Amino acid sequence: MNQRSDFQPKIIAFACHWCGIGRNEINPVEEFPKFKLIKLLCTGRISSALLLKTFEKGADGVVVFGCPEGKCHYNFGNKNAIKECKLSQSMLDLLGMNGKRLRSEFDFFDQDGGLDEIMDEFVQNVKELGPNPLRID
Amino acid sequence: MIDALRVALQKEQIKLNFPELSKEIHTLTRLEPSACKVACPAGVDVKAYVGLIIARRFDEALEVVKQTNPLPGICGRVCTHPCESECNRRKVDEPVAICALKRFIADWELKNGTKKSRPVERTKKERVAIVGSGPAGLTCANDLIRKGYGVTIFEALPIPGGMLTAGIPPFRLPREIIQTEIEAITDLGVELLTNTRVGEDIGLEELLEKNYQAVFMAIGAHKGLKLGIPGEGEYQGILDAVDFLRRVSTGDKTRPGRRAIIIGGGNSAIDASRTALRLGCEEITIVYRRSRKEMPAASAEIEEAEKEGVKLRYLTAPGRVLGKNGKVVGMECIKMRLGEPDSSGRRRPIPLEGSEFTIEADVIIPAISQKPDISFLPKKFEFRISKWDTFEVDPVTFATNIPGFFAGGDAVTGPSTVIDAIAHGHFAARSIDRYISHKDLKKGIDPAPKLSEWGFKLEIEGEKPIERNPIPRLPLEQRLHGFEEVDLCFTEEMAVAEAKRCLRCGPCIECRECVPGCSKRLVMLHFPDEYDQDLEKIPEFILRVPVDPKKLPWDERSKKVLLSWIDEEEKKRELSLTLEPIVCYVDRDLCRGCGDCVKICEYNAVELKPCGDGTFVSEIDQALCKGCDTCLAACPSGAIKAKHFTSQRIEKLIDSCLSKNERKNESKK
Repeated sequence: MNQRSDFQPKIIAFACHWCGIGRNEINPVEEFPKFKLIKLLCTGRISSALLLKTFEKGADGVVVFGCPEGKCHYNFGNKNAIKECKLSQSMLDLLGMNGKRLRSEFDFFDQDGGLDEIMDEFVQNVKELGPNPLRID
Repeated sequence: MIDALRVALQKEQIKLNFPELSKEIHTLTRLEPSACKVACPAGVDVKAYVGLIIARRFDEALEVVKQTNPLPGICGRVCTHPCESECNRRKVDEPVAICALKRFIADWELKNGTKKSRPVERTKKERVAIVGSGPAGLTCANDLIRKGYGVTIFEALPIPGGMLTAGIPPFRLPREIIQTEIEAITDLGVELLTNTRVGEDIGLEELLEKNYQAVFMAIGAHKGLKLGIPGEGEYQGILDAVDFLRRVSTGDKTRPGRRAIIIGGGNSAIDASRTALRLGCEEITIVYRRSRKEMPAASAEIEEAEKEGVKLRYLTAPGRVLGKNGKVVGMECIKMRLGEPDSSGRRRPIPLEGSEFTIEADVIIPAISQKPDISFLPKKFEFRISKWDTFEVDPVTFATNIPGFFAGGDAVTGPSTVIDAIAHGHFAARSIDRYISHKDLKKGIDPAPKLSEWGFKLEIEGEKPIERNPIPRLPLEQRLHGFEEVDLCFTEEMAVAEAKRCLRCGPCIECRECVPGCSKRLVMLHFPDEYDQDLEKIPEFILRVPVDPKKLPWDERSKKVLLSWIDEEEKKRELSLTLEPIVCYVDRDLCRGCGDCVKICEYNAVELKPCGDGTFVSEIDQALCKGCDTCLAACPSGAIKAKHFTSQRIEKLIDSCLSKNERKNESKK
């Protein structure tokens, strides 16, 4: 348990450029205190291959932020993303890595909860799950 | 029409920063570098750190040196400074004392508390074995550990450093300096095993069994050559210079004899003579067969040796060892004269018949040359070895003929300089990295840069001569009692004054102001190595200073630069980032015509086109594509690719996120 207490999960978030989580227009990566944000043009770019690759590279948790259904800048990108996230979650379960390591937030702006609240909860979840078993130390 | 659409599209495109993908990145130091940088085998940014010394930013100056040379304190003392021989200041008066300046910043850090290096995160599971802890081995270890490999150095002697400790006496290179600089490297996580002779304590083949993926052999040249004169093997009292120096450095401080003859004209001969002097020898004679002008040793060292009382006999060659009762009593020598230049460009010595004479001595120390000791190589490895017992390697990759084995330093060149060994270490580390990650070892490596004609003219006329600051030295009377360092360090004022002698030649003055200043990251001082293979050659654009830098006063020189640049057609342009619009395209070889992308795209940008043989290939209309990349994610065969948002790029972003995270946690601890 000692190791668990100072375990700082590495969390990577993907977000689309239009939903407004990232403020800086220039940097493709933004650093938040608890996670790193990689910006894509649209969450439609996210495939299960990409999500699983992120876990393979050693991320402890992955969050996908996307626009609510029907509000996608490109009209249809998030539909694909929702499908891919669900697929990856079941694949993670199948691999024995627990699908809870992947979280998708597609109605983030319709909820009252702020970004910090969601991330606090997610970090707590990942901490309970422990480090990514695939990470090379 | 399409052009109009394209403009509209571009306006909608977001502005992101793609430093590794934009072809309009300018690496300043790669183009038209200064003479000193080209002259340095390791490519140290001399002008940059000299400039930072002027600005009194000493810690940054040291950082610049350490990027290419992990042993600044050592090089600042014993480097043969090829940079100074190319310095343009020599056309005005004397070259800038670059070597002493490097030493000053290295010592400045020591005085002001060294920054302890933190262990580097191990990101790769492969391990590399390095045989020998000399400058080549240390540099290679330093580079590889920073790339995330596990590195182990095997050193045969009880003390690390190779020729640095075994061959260079402490009055030229204090042991603490070597120790601090080696510690800075081992602190990064390099495992250093001393007293471990590969071939005896551990076999070379065992290394591969022990899961090392590559081996770098930097064994140096520690075996003295035989004189090949009558009587050499018969009497006691002949001691090779390298053996003698190694014996003294490992703690044996006994006097070799009352009178000593040293044969040879290189640095090791001078070192041996000055060491013998400090051990109490009364009469020391250096015998050299050519004249003073041809001596390969550094002239400052020869002068100091003479001042300390070493006798030099030029144009004298050893003829025969004289002995009595099994011990050396002297040597018969023969006078020489100089003839025509030989293949090395030096004039060939020719013996003068009948000029034999005798020098009396109790000990003879030959310091003619050394060769690598390759007896550790097992027979089943058939390495290609030259007739001088050195490894034959590829001149660019430093790979031996056996895959996975690399060699560098004196083991390849025969006895050479520290800075050459450091350069070899860098090249070998790059090759080992590529070898382990299964990349082409040679791709994209430029042959060594040559000093070319600059686009601008360096005006030397009118430059006032400023006297070169002499290096302070320990007074003679304090020297001979022990092994205290003879050359002393510049004071801060002297260093800044000396650095100001630099003419700042070359078009880029390497002030390093542009890098943090350029918000769009169009300017990089160094092109990151890992992108070398993915990209074609960087366009030959040259950043220039708006006015001749020499016409600017000092502080202006470092501020008012790089505001405009001129391309090859000499057209003035503003620096701007123009990216191609982010659109998707189809790799026709991979597309199997399933039509998933057609179904998913709501802009009707994708169409299936018949190929003629009954199959279909999808095509993306670049004017209609908005670049959302959804079809890319949905494509089952991976045939669709997006400009800029390639899979490799996103993977690199993920990699950088994961590694940055680690570093931040460390600093918190």
